[in-house]
Amino acid sequence: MGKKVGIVSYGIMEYGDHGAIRKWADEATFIVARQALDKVGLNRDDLDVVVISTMDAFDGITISNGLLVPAAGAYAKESVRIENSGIHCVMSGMASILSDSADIVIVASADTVKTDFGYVTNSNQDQFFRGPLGFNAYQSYGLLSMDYMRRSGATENDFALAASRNYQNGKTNPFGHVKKAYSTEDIMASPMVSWPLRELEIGRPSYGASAIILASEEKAKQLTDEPIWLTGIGAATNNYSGNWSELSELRAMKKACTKAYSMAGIKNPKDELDFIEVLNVFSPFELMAYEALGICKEGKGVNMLRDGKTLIDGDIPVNPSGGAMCTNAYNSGGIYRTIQSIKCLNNDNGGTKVKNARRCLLHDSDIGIGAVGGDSHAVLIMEKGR
Amino acid sequence: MARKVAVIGVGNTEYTSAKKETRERSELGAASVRAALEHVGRGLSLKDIEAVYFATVNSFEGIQRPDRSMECLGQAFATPSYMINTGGTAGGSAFKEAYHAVAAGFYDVVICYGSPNMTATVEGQQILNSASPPLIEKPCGAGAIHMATYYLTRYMYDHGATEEDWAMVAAKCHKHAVNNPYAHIRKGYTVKEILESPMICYPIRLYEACPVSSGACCLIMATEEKAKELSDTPVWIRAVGSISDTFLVGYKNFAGFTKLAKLAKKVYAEVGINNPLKEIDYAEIFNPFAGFELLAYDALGFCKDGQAPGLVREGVTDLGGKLPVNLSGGTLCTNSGIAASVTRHGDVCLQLMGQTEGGRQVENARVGLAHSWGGNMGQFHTLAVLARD
Repeated sequence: MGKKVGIVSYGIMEYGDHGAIRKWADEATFIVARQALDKVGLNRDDLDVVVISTMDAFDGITISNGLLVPAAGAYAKESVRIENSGIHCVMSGMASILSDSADIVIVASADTVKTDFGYVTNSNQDQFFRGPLGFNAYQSYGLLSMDYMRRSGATENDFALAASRNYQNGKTNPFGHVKKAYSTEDIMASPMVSWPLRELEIGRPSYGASAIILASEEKAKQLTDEPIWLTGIGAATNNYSGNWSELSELRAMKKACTKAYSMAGIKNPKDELDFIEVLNVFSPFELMAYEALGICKEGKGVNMLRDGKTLIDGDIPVNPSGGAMCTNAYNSGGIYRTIQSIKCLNNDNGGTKVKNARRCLLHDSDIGIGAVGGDSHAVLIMEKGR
Repeated sequence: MARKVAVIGVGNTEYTSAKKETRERSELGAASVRAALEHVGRGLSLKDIEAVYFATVNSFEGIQRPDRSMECLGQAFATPSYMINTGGTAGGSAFKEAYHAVAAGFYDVVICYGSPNMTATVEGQQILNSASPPLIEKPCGAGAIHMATYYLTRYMYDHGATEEDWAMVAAKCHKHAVNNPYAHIRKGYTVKEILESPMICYPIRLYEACPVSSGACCLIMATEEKAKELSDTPVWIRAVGSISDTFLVGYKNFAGFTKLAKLAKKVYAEVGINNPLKEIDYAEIFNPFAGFELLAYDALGFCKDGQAPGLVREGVTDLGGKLPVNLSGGTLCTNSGIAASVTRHGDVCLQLMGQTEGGRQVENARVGLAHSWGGNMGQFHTLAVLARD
């Protein structure tokens, strides 16, 4: 692929509790889309394609992209909505540009509607076995975490430590939702939700909106002095049913990483990446992800944590934004973390800084609505300059 | 440079009424994927599929993210699956996404399919009502058929179209559906029978409205290199596009499919079509309500505004005419939820491959056009221009 795609601008609202947003989904989408356009002096007519990253269930209406696309500038233009994750939408935007179908693409998303999360995530299970059992996302997080304890020797304390590191990173993030640096003790003292997970080890739902603008190499260079280049991307989807080891080995995430690494020419991710943002809706997932990302050996994720390798000044910092522990937006989380990573690469994130960061990895997934089977994963490599 | 992309395989299942359906969603999907793989032949298997583009509307399925629990996608290999939901146009949008991904170089062989199984929903119209703007239209109870009537009554007012005009275009579809083994309603209703069928929402009569069908359609798409290796009849994708309108209804005057006209201009310009009636050999138009086909003729430039009924009366769009349209019976006779917009593309491909069954094959069809329509009050349209060498 000779052509390049870059991110040239973004718009973001401060994330918060449902009560703090007080906007309809289209209002929030409009605010961030307008912000992103204004930043680089574009107007609506300059957009070729609008991509929306939301799930109907989290918008509370059916075909919710109908409501959202005009707010992001799609009137009389091409638009699409993909439900898997924000990075899947970025991939769609890249494909439009790389196939010469577009020059400028906006990807927007908003979280404004409060849902009955247990009920919604029960309804994405199959209707014959897991559905009728009442299986929902919380139980799926617990089962996957339990399995990880069994095979890695991680303890409840490790999971609390993983969560507290994210809270620590997120406490100064001006756009994040939870800005309280809970300690391991606070976390261990919070109520048990789904064994072995406690309330503070699961991201609470966050509300807000985010938008980014992608452009072809030529346009990107005209529009900004510091485009962020998208140099690798990959996606994959896990099997819905299978045995426990199949479901817990994060096969899809590994496959997505392999694809993204090969596209970006990365051989040793631990050395070649400056930081990583992982979607950790429940804190143990971060440890499993270390293994899937190939920054440590199988079963050694927990050692990375204990040895402080993923601390902000460690070998490979993870989740400088505070991750989904601090801001867990089911629709817009991927775009939100893309923006956080851009800000981190540009050293203007106002929160936890990573020194001399030039290249990072961003992971996104729909694992938030159910973790054991059927989950899609996408991985994006972003680079500054060059 | 964008790579060339072709459709090389089409797979359909049998279609039936959603109320009589006994097959599960995954079964339907698996059957259509298998049929498409068999259509390609030459040892192509699920293992060779690099990505899956799945079109659906969650709520019509009665569950959230139906793609996640499907077991027919080759997920045993962790194949990436993309769930595209843009309402009725989801099939057209998924087709477009699949095309972009292959043309951009992300994948070499992908599938695009829809396998709705609307058995879990008691009443689809109630669900569709939640797609309407929440302050005015939704409490009024707007459903799919109401969206259609605005367009059709306005067309009658503007151009003097009659109830008989709608019945004639409906009869053309019903006549051909009889010979389509993959159609759901195969009764061959005549103009007289249609005009005698109950009025359900003026000016739409029962036989001018689509059924709720169940069945699946799958397409296999590939790069130039793979297409030439795997198929003797690759159908090249020359252009794809979509267009969006406002969400709120207050801005619309329903005078024709104006956004479709705009999209058609753009797509035709890309491939150099100046006279669509002459240069296009076959078209599949998304017509869940028979009259849509006439509005689309105008918008697609098959005739001057308001003259579409004349094309039907003169047989221009019938088998043997200059530009046959919807010889499958169209969405009017088989509306398998979101698969119906995939089917439009599949039926055009089969015509161009010269493999249409039931005596409906258009002679020497080289250039085809596939259309889909969807969203609140027809907020979205998609188009694809397909061609044989």
